[in-house]
Amino acid sequence: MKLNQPFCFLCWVTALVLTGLVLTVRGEEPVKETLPAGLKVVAIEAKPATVELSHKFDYRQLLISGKLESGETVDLTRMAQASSPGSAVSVSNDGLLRAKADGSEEITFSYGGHSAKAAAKVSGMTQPHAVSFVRDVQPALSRMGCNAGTCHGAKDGKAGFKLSLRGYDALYDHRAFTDDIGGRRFNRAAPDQSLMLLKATGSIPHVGGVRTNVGEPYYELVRDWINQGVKLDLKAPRVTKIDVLPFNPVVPLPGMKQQITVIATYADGLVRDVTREAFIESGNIEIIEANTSGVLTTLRRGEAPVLVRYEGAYAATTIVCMGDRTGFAWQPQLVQNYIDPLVDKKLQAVKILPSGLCSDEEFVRRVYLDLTGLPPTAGQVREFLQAPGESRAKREALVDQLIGSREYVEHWTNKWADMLQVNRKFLGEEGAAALRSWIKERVATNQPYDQFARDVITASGSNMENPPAAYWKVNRDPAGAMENTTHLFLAVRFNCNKCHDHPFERWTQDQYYQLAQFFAQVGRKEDPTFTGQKVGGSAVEGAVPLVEVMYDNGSGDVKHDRTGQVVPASFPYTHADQSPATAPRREQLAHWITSKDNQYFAKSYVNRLWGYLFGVGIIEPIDDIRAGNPPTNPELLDALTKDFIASGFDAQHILRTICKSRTYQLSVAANKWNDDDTINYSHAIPRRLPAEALYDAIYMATGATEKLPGVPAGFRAAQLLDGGASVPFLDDFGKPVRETACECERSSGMVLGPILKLINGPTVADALADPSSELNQLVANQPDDTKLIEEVFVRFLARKPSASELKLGVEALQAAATEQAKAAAALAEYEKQLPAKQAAWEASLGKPVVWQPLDPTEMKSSAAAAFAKQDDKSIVVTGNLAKDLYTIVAKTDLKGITGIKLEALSDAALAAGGPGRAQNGNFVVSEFKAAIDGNAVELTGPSADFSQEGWHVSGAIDGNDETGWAISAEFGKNHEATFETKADAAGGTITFTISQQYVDGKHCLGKFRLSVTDGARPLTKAKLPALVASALAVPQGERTPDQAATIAAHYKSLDAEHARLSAEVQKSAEQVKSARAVGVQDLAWALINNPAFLFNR
Amino acid sequence: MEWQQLSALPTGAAWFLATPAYQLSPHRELPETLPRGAGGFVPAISEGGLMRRQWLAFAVWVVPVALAAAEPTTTTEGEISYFKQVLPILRQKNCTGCHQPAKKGGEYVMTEFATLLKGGESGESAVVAGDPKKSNLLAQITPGKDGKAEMPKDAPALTAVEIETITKWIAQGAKDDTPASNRPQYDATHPPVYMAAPVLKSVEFSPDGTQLAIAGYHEVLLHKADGSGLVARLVGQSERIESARFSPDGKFLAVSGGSPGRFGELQIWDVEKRELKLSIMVGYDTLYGASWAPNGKMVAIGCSDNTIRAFDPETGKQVLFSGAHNDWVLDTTFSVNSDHLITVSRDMSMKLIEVKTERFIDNITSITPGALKGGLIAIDRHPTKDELLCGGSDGAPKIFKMVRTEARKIGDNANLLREFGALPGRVFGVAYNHDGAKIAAGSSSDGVGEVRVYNAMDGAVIWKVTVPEGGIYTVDFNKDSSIVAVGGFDGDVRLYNATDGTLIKRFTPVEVSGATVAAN
Repeated sequence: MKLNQPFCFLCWVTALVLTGLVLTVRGEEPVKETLPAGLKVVAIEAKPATVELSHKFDYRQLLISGKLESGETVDLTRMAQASSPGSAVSVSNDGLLRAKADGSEEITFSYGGHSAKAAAKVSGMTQPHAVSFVRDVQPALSRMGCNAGTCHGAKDGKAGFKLSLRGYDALYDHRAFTDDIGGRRFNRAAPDQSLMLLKATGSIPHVGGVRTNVGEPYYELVRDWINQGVKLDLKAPRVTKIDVLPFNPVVPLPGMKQQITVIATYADGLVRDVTREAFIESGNIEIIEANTSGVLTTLRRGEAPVLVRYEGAYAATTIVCMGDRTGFAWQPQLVQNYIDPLVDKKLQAVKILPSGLCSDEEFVRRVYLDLTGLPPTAGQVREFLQAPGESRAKREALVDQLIGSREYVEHWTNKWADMLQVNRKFLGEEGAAALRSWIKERVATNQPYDQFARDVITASGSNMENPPAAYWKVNRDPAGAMENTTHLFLAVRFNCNKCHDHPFERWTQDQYYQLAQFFAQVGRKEDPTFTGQKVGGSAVEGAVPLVEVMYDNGSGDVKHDRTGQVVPASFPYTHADQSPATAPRREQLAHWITSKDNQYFAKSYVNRLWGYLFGVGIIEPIDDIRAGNPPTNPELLDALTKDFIASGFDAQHILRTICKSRTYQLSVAANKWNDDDTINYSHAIPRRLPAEALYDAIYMATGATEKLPGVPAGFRAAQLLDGGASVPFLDDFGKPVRETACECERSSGMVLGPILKLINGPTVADALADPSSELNQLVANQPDDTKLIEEVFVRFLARKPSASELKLGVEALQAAATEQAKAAAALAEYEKQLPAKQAAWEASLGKPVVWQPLDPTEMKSSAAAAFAKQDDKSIVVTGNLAKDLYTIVAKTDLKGITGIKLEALSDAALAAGGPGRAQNGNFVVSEFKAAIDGNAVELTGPSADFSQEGWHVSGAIDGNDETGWAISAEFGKNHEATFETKADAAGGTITFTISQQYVDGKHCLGKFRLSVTDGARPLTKAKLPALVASALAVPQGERTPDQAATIAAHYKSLDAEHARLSAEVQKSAEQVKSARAVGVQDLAWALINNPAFLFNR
Repeated sequence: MEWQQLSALPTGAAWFLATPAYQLSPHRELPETLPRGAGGFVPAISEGGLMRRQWLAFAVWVVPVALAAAEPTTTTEGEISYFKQVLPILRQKNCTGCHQPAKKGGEYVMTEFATLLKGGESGESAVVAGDPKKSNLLAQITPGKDGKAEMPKDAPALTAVEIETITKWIAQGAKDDTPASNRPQYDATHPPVYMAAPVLKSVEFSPDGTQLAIAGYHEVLLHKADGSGLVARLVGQSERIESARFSPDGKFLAVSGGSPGRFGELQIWDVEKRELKLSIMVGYDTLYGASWAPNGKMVAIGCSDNTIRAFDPETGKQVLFSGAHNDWVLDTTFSVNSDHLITVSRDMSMKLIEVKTERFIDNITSITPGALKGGLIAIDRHPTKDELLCGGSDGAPKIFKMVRTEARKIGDNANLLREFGALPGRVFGVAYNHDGAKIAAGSSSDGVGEVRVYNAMDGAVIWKVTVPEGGIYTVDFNKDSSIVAVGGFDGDVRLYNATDGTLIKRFTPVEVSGATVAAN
């Protein structure tokens, strides 16, 4: 959605600044000022030399200046001693002369043995001075801060009392003071009891504090006005201009101060000193600090504009703080065209020495990026560097070649697409595409800028047939269209004055509505070809027809916000080149805007072009021309403007001229005399590549194929129609959303998030990983490492690597092979330690658990079942099936029996495959007991490979027939239960009883086997594979080679460090295969993440 | 440099290239991105961004610096004067901006001597005469080691000299030496002296038609109804009189007013005896639009603290309180049988309050935002019916019926009975005549007044006169509706023939001496 509310940033900032200013009103200078040591004054002067004061509120700020030995001028106003004054005037210690009584006198100012005189003549002190609300009271109220944006000038006023912001509306304010609530705020019967005075002096509680005191000039002024009947003189002559003296002063050293005076001229010819009421604001408080009595304090070397405003009049002066430039000597500079001497003149004045020319490598990348939005390809770099001829001629030829090229057209089309808001949100995809190709055609044919602007401003018809008509589709309401158009084509901000007079400029609220009238008579109707198709629309805004026909409807007016009246259409400033008033309003408007006589039209565009090429406009921000934002080099801007107009508004001509100047071709490297300069073009300033250029540059350098959403593969970011398909990378790097014409929509800053995303994000990773990228092809086709690295550098940075960079690069390519050798050595080294480690492991295992099946000697069934012993020593049970108690007897000579195993074995002959005899193959071992030579063996540590839920194997040795071990539903499989003996038992005749008492009398074992072991406890510790276990059971010296190998292999598989080292070897072996590809990718990654790539230098 | 650290983060590639000094190009950010500068990451700072951020810094930092520089030269020798030395500090440092009756920061009021000593919500004595150590005021303003004090809040601490001054004053006994002559004091024997005629905010005929009550400065002037002479001066405490209204039986006069920014006062005068019967102090600013209940048992007022109140004129007891409005309440009137109160306010609305329950009943005017331009200023009730005549910033007098009879619809204005043609500017005074057949309205438009009399039935303008000397703030019909009296900006009372608008008499109700009134 477009911003409906005009955002008044200035309002907000001024409010803050004002808070500061207002509160500094009575700040006195506590420390006596002195000149810095070493400055020798040779003469002093007082200005003005004669002063005439004509009433009791009249004053004059004097300027006492001193001439130094060096020829420089210094301000001595607060240091010079004034002769004690007579009866006519008073002189404050900061040089303010006030009237005391009629008469004349001469004041002598002295400093360091020098003196200067000022003659003062005072009259009118015996007659009453008629106080004017407009001329006298309003400025005093402003200075006291009453109408400040933070106080009663706020939108809703304060504490029920509202004034117009900064007193721009005298009628409103007069009403507030004299008529609101029936004249509550003044008291004619007893003026000193007037609420407005009691509040201002803090005599009664006032949140705004004490603004003046009884007897002070402002108090007396307001009191006199009340006394004289609170008259309003709306017709009082207004201020026509203000002058600031001295103009553009140069202050020698940081810390020194400069008094300025502000002189207002009124429409009736009255000239008066308004230094104390004027608002004086520093444009850069790092360099200059201003106070309310007009004293500027310099803080460090540099220059800063100071904006002065008084009652709707504005003036700016630029203060230079020279700083210590001892040893500076200007050196004559190469001149390539008219730009250079104008830049040099300024540099010389502020004692800056420019850098030398940039190298051809720097130039080729810079000029490609600036003119085409793309870095040069490696081929283009070589072609330029290797071309014969002298550097300057080569550079100029390249400029000529690039201007007008295909990429140039794409790049500059994009700039205009940003500013004309080529955005499918407003135009639909078709409309956006039509407008973009219209722009492209204009850029390609280099249509004169004035014609281009005229075509846009006067565009009529369907926005499909005549695409610039889309401008009026996007800018729908007259006020918004006016703000956008003045911003776009004049770089003037007409938005703050929608609600009040512009705080930083001379533009008034009346002018806002007068100018808006020119935008009010545009009709819009649906293009019948696209009937019924809509675009946009939201909960609060209805959708509009997809395609509309624009026409001048000859009627319609906007109403003034304050008065509710229709104001006549009129331009805020006029020039000689006027069109007939009978023409449609847009015709008149276009004529007025695009005329060569319009003071902002041509100037604002050359300033934009300059700003694009240097990163800093001569006026900066490049689309914010106003009194308080003066150009840093007015003569240069004027010369460019003149040239632009003379060329017939030929933008290519200006670009060509700028690119061929020496100034454009300066190196980015600074010297001692210019390293702090960022505004005078004494060296190149690195600029972060715009989002699209950065994206395209990454893909171009890697030679990977771009795959942007919504467009065919290979489409460049610069070729995208609009921001319709979101590309996070482009958004992160500030691609504008195209919802306003403001240059501020495109950000060029560097913030952490996008940088991290750039480093780690998918854009770079994808480009590098693309197997078919030129970069990866290059690795395959260029066997020479040195040449490979050189080529990569040229691709990414348009230059060859330095010797050290080359060395690093080649090393990186070979890094993988070295890595592999290292890994193999590490593995071999480790393997030497393996036998010892294995022995230790074996020792830790103890005696391996090897089960010895028992050969039954007796088998008995209490239920008369039949037993059949098998070859594998298992027993198969058949015959009668009932609750049973098996008794099995066997002999063993094993010493130290530690465990007994009962295996329940499956068999095809059993129901469901067994191992039990129940219908489903289950069994329940209710109790399992063993006794050796008649002595019961206590069993513990029951463990089974599987136990049925509720029938855990522990139930088999708990002495309870109700519980037991069962295995449902793991039928048809072998199972085993192991038990540890409580104490090692010696071998002998061993008798097992297996009680099976499940209620149905069918859950008996169908096939089983019994084994014993003397393996180390706990039996459940390490379940070694049977093969390993049996090998281990063989004493070390007696093992077969196979057995030894089995054990060794098993051990290796357990050793984590060995596994890691083996993997390293494996990995580096693979890397060796693609070592160069990886090396180049790493190099490319590092180069992308380097300022030399991210910035245009 | 941040950049190098950044590129060093994932050092997998272990590449460090020569990184020459670089700078970032100026970023032309939207202002919305400003906070980024404060908390975010901006490796280098552009000119524009820097400026903005410094402006912020300026706003935050310059204040302390500038004020700290303003070291006062007050001497702390000898006896410290509360009035001459201490009070100026309290005002200059704006203690009294917050700790005043209307704001009561921390429940502490410093504008009255007694409460200045007493202290606020902490319960500790702010000033203990003779004992600075026990005086919480000093604890609050004395800066700690970091140079910051509790008070003044968000502002630089008082200077050492200022604190010493206050300390000494407390040590010396914290005496109040405010001179009695600080403000001009007036009473019946020392009536006000006028440098110029005051703006007339209220002119009203007595019910018997013999007298005019005219709001003056510090007094109500009783004149003969035909303007032939001053009868009496009712001098009181309040310097500004907003309204002076006779009781239905004419025996009493209710006067609302006060001193702006200090106090509000409702005075009840016994007209015959010229005696102030009651003085009811209300709030901290002047009181507006006094009105009598027809049964004579209540007097209502509108207040600048947005409240409506009514008092028993016999006892002074408050009998009604309502906070229904959200801006100053500028005029009031009762329903015919005294059971409802109707009020108008700068908040653009006319509200109906039930007296018995003190309950807000209805917005009589439309509640649609923007339906009325500006606030409502004046109200009068039809002599026999519950119909209400009002005037305000849109200049058009209107009559509303008091009780809504239609179902409410959003945006309706169903109670409106008649809208009269607009006067230029804002209407400050409206009045019905004795039988309700005519209405009068007076307006002010940038220094020019206008009076109109309309036919209440059909809205026709019966007559109108322009008063080029200044706006009209009050109008009233006399008993038999033969005369319309008006007053306003220029301080003169004008009596017009109510039938045709001819000027019968114009007089200045006060004697203008032109002598200088002592300033404090």
